[in-house]
Amino acid sequence: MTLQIHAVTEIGSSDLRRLVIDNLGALLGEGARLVENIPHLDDCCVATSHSHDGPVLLSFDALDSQRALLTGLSRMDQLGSEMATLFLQDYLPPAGLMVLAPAAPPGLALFCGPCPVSWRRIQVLSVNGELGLVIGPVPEETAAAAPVQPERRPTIVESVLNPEEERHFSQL
Amino acid sequence: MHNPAWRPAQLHTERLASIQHHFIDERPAVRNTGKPGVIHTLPVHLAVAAGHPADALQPQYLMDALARQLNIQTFDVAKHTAWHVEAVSPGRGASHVEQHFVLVFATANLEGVRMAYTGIKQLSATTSRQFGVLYSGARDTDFIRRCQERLASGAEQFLGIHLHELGHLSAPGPDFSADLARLAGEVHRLWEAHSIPDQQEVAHT
Repeated sequence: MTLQIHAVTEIGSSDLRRLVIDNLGALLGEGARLVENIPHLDDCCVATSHSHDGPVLLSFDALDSQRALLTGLSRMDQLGSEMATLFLQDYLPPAGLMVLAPAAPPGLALFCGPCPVSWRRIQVLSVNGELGLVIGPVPEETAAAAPVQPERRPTIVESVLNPEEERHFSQL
Repeated sequence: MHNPAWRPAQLHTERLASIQHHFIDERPAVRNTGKPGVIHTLPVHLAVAAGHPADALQPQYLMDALARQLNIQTFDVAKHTAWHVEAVSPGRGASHVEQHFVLVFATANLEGVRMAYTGIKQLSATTSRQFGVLYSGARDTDFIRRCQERLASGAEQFLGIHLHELGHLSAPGPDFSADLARLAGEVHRLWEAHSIPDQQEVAHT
C-alpha cells in the first residue's frame, strides 16, 4: 500500500482547533487539559492547563505565524482584564502564550519577562485523506528563553488568612 | 368546588409558574408605577472556585433566578418593592456594601470554603454583618456537611460569627422551583431580620 502524504495548505480553523486539542499531550506534556472556566475565545485559540503549571494560551494558524502571534497577544490581553475576574474570584489569566505555526513569528525574540512566548512548529498533513498534525521538536532558542517564570499573583485567599486560619482551612 | 373543566388551564398556569425562572433574559426591572417605590438590594458574595462544576448551579443564573423569585414572591406588595441582587467583591473595597445581611454562594469544595471565609472576614472587618451561606456543586450530602462544618466552625472560632446555613442548591432540575422558592423565603426572612429600617428603603422615582 502506498501512503499518499502531502502538505495541507487550506484547513478550516475548526479542523485545526480539533487537531490541536487532540494533540495537547504531545504539545504540552502528559496531564495537559483544556481550561473550562475561561471566557469564550475564538476558534484560533484554546486555553490549556497542565497539572503543575498555570494556564497557557495556545494560538495557532496553519499558515500565518504572525497572525497567530497577534491573535494570541490580543486574547491574552482580554483574558487578563478585570472583566474576566468578575465572577471567578480565584481566576488566573493565562501565564503564558504558545504560538503554533509553520514558522517562528516575526518579533518573537523580543518577548521576554512576565509573559513568555514560545513557538512549536506544526504542519498539517493529509494521509490517505485523513488529516494529521506533525509537531516539530522544541526549538533550542525558544527553550532557552522559556525559563522565565511569571510571578503567580496571590489570590485573595492567600493574602488574608493568618497561619491559624490557614491550618483550619487546609482541609475539609 | 372548582369546575373540573378549569383544571387543565389551572395546571397550565401552575406549570408556567414553576418554570418561569427559565425565561430570564434581562435583569428584573423596577416596576414603574408612577409612585415612589422601594428597592431592596441583596448583596451576594460569590465564592466560586475555579473547579466549580459545569453541571452545578452557576452564579449568574442564581442571581437572576433569585432576583426574579424575590420579585414575584410578593412579600410586601403595598410598598411597590423591587429586589436587586448584586455581586460584591470583598477584596476590592467592601465599604460600599451597606446591607447587614449578605448572601454567600460558595462552591462546595475546599477552595470555595476558603474563598467564602475570606469574603466573610473582609466584609465583617469594619461592620457587623450576618451571612447566609448557600452551596452548590457537592458530590454528596456528606461532602456538603463537611463544607458547612468547616466554614461554620472557622467563622465562629476566628470571627465570632454564626453563619446561617441555606443548604445546597443543584443545577435547575425537577425540584429547582420549590428549592428556589424556599431559598427566596429564607433569604427574605434573614434580610428583614438583620436590616435596619433606613437600609430597607431606597426611594425610587
